[in-house]
Amino acid sequence: MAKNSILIVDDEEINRQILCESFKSTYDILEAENGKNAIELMMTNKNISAALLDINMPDINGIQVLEWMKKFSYIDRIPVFIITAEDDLSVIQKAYNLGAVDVISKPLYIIDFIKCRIGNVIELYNHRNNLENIVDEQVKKINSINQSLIETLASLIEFRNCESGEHVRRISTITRIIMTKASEVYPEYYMPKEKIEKIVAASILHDVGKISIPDTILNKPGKFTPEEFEIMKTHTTKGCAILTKMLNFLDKDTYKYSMDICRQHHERWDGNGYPEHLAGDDISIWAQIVSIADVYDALTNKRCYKEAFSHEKSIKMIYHGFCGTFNPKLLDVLEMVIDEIKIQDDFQKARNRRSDYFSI
Amino acid sequence: MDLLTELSNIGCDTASGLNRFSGNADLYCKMLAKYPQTVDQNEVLPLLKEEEYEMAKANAHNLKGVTGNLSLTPLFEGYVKIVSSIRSGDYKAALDVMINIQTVQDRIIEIIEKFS
Repeated sequence: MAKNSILIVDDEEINRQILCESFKSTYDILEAENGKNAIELMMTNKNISAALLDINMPDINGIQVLEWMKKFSYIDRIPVFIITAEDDLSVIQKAYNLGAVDVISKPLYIIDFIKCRIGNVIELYNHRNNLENIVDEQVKKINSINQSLIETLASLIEFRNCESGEHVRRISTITRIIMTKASEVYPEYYMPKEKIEKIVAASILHDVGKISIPDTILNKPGKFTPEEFEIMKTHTTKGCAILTKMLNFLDKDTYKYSMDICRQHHERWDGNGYPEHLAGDDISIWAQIVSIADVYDALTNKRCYKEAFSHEKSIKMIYHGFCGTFNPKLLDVLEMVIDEIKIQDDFQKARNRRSDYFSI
Repeated sequence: MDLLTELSNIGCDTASGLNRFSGNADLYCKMLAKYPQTVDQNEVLPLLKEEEYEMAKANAHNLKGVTGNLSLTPLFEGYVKIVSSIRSGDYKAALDVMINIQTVQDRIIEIIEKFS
């Protein structure tokens, strides 16, 4: 097993040598003669198990190194021992406040005891870091199970709806493409990447409320009667009611995006959608994007009530308002990414055809 | 007489210094040999005379750490007093101590250089 590394930071070689001599048999030693070198070594060496840090150094001093470590969270992983001749208590207090674990005074007395103090803390941090890694792995596993549950639930609705379960995958792909571009082009729609991924995850639940719609309506080949349409419209609000039961296994952001998307993905920019006739930016941007993705996918694929339209015809229908009015900025974004959507769509369909062939 | 014995004879606690270097006498002597250069890079007396107290304090602080670790006991005790006097604004006391330890420091450097 590789030895732990210790970073020794002191501008005086004599002081560094004493520490090197004491620790070299147990640890790999990294030496820095100033704060700048120390920061560079921390950024390039992932295996540093402890830092022995002098305070008074030219340019970047030990306190500034600690401030940097705190700002970039290195202090959470690397225990720092201040090795100093400093007897100004306010400086030592500052070092402790910034996260130093211990202060060892120069000159160093009873070096064996100092080695024990440092060794014990390294062992404790190693143990803690290992536990954190295990917890991170488990959280990833739980998140992955949750995502699978969500996808399975979304697919179940589609099987009832005579579809293969691919609809939700296509919706999430198109949502990602449009959201990413809108975020790049329009500052008011900017979203960090991790939030975009949560919106993508939430998009697959847009039709979860359809589980409450009777088969006779859900799979009706012809046009709905006014009464049937009223029932069909309730899938938006019933979807939200179902989502409230999923609160425990969705994170806070994904839950909010899912609720908005579920309720608002049939609203339209001019207020002529349902269920609440919201208009303009009263409709959340994520729901507006899923609306476009949903309409594009419905047009380009076969449904129980219609044949599939070509990509080109579907785009024309969206731009000419056959499926309601959309945010003009998002229609501009759609134009920018239309080729990418088509390529992704064709690729996904080809892959499905291949997997269908091999499953025969 | 060897280096450590000579330094011990003028009040340096070389036994604790040797212990600090994990009993490695060669390394201890090698580090002692660097002391004259460290003094050159951290002069204190001229700065005190020029009333450059912040710089004098920083250099005295460095020498306090180094002399402590090398167990150059009379110098360590002197630099402790100098740092503390400058910090409390008693610059005259700092200058007096520095003048007092200058002779010992010159003697220690002379001994070290004899064995280098």
